[in-house]
Amino acid sequence: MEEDQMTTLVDTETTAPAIETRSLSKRYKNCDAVVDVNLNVEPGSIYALLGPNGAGKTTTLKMLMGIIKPTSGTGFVLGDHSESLASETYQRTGYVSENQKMPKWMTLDQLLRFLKPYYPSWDDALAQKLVEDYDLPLDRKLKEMSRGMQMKVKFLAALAYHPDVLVLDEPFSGLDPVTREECNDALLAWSEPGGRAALISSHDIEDVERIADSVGIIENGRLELSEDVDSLKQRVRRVSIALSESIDLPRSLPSSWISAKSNQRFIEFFDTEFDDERTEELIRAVLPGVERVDNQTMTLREIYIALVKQSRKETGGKYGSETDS
Amino acid sequence: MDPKLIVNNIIKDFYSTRYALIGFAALLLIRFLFLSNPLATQNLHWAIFYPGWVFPLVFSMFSHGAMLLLGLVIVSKWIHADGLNDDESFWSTRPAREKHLFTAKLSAVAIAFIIVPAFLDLILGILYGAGWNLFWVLPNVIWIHGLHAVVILFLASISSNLGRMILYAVPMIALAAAYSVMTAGITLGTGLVLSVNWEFTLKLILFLGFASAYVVQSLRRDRKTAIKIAALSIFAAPLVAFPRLSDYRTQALENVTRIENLEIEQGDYIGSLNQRSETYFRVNVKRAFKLLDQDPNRILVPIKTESELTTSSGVRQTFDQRWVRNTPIHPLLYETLKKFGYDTNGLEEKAYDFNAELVSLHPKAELAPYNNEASLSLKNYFSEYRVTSLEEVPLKRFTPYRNDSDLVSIVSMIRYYSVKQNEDERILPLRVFITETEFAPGFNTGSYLTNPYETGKRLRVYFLYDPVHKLLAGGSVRPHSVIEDSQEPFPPFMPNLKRAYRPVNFNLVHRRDQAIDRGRLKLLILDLENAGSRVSESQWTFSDLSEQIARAIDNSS
Repeated sequence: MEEDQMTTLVDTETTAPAIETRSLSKRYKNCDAVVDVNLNVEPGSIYALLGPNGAGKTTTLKMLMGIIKPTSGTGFVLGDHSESLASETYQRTGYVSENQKMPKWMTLDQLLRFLKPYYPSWDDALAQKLVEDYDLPLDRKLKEMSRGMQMKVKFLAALAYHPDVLVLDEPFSGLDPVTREECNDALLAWSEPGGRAALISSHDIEDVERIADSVGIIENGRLELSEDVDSLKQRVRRVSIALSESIDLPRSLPSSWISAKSNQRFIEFFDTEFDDERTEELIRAVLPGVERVDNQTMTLREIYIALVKQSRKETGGKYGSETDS
Repeated sequence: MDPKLIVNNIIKDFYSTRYALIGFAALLLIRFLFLSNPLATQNLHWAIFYPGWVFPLVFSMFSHGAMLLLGLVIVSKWIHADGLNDDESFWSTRPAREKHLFTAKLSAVAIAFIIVPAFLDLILGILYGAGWNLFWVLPNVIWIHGLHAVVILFLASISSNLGRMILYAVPMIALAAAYSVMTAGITLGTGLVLSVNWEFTLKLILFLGFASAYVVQSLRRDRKTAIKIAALSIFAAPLVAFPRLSDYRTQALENVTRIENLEIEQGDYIGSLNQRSETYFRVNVKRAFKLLDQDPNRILVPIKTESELTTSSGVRQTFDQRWVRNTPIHPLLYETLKKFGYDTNGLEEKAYDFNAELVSLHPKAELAPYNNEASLSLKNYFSEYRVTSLEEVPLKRFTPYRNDSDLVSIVSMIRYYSVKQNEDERILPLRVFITETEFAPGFNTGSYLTNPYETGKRLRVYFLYDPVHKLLAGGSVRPHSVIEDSQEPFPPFMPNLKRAYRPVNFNLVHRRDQAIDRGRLKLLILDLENAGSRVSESQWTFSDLSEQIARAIDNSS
């Protein structure tokens, strides 16, 4: 099975994105749930789709999984059209959602036995290992398990057949830190062979900060940003400036400077287009009496909050980068 | 479609409801073991006359409700476990696709609620040795069980939980009622009183509902124009099917003379029955059989006949009536009696004259005693009738479980035997009868229960009917006979029941297709001169009656 698996991975690496959307849109009666979303999740990467509640994350994922039909645009999973995903595609795709209903009358053992025939690549040994790693009782009914245990069961049910793609909808929501860590570990272990891709939606970036390679921020149904995490962290910096004397913030600041605050002789802002030399030149051109310029890398959480706040202030404005990753 | 996945899903569903299924199977088994008539709708009232039936009857009512309820719960669980209507359902992102689920669910329902119960009922029928014709019974048995299954399946498929499922049943029932009322209203407006074919209406609506549900489900994922059109067509189909829905039959479509324009002989031919109408026509009966060496302990039962009707306009229609309904039995009786060594002088002509006795339940009622073909205006047709197939059945094996033609045979035999008795002025050994028959539901057959000879002389008949079934039958059981105030309290021990079971003269003609569709018809023929009115003395079973007849025939020969 491992040979097959490797073949699949190699194939995946050399072909299309694992997940792709083209102008994916979903309109309900009076509102646009998702608008023209274009994103690519390359094989070998974990993509975190971030956004506040109601931003359109779940709708996007459901469209990708063929659960709901897009109003326009298309989605692809492993090259297969999302509106008509073949059984074979589902056999290579794992889906975990906090909302997904489980057959709770089953014991874990019954669930695993029920699922096995659906997946040619089902790995009993892996399933057993995950059961032990997660410390899950095989003979307990799902309805008698805690929320955290049930989420672990969902992970287990999605990982035990070595999927090439994982689509996770708010998988960590409401979990305690330990369980989150376990689920993160499981994800990392799953992605180890390389070539596997995951799309994870979350409204809390801390959930995915450790594992995400790329990040997209969706708000009001629009994908406002889609970028590699490293590039984003390099591009968005916290900049602190010490001035020789106290001044009022100029009315007009460069558009890439967001959330600017002044405190007597000190000014701080987030630069969404940070570049060592260019930023300092720009600062000295805009502000008089600059004594010292410092920059700090930001956590994804800080970047996310800053960008979302800024976006809400400037209605409809993008976050300073192309949406296509 | 991978059969393994389908089986996997069926096993999962069965396991998830194993306790309910065990309960269902237990009820089925108990019914199988203890109840004698699974195909007949039971009526608790009859327990009054047959105390020994109290348990089976009560249990039957209980088990019917319990099985329906269990079925509701089980199917609901199966369908809602993999909710078609639910975008959070577990299956939706698994390799099991709609076609797998659809096949699996349908198979599970078919196995649990149609095949197994039908199989048990069939075995039961065979065990009772009633000579059931398997192929005759099978479609009905399957339909009886399938009816509940399909409606539950449909409701489950459009709902997300049991509560909603029950809620959704309400408009469906309303829809079925509305269709029937609508069709009845329209037919009344045309001046034709046609019996609304409730059963067919319901079947059609169920079928269309089921089909619509499936299409609607398809629409969720695939909004192709073709499917939209299909959905609309299915919803519109009842309008197209209207004539059939309203039981709008040939007569109405061809605008053939209605009954009020026919010459109908009304009168006192049978005494005081004043709502009886009769008409006569001649049918040529081709004797397709030459009867040789018939066992005197056996009777011939027609199982296949052909009728050829020729309209005055030259249109010919041939009907292959596979199952004899209320077609004339006289020729067969004649042959039978002849073979029994009975003096048939003068009977031949009578036997081969088809005396169509029809009862008018309404001044505008059709002549048709049947459902479809015989709705032809009889006067305008030249008819040819022949029996093409006969079955020889031992007399002792006549039971209520055979089709209605047996009943007709027996009653008619009584009739002819009585004729003989009158002619010879001998005392008939058969004085007190209780004839009883049970009609299997869904069998749209007719039965003639006539006895023009004894009426008003020595015999008084109590025609028992169930007010519940009267309602179900659209009230058509209601008096096609004069209801006399009997001087005898009846039943003597339950005077209040008099309202429900009113004594009538025997000279009634019971139109099976408009009367008790799913009930039990019971005739008490009491010899008032000799037996008084004590019901308890007159409780004979149908087989007893058969034996009596056989014995009487033996004695007389």
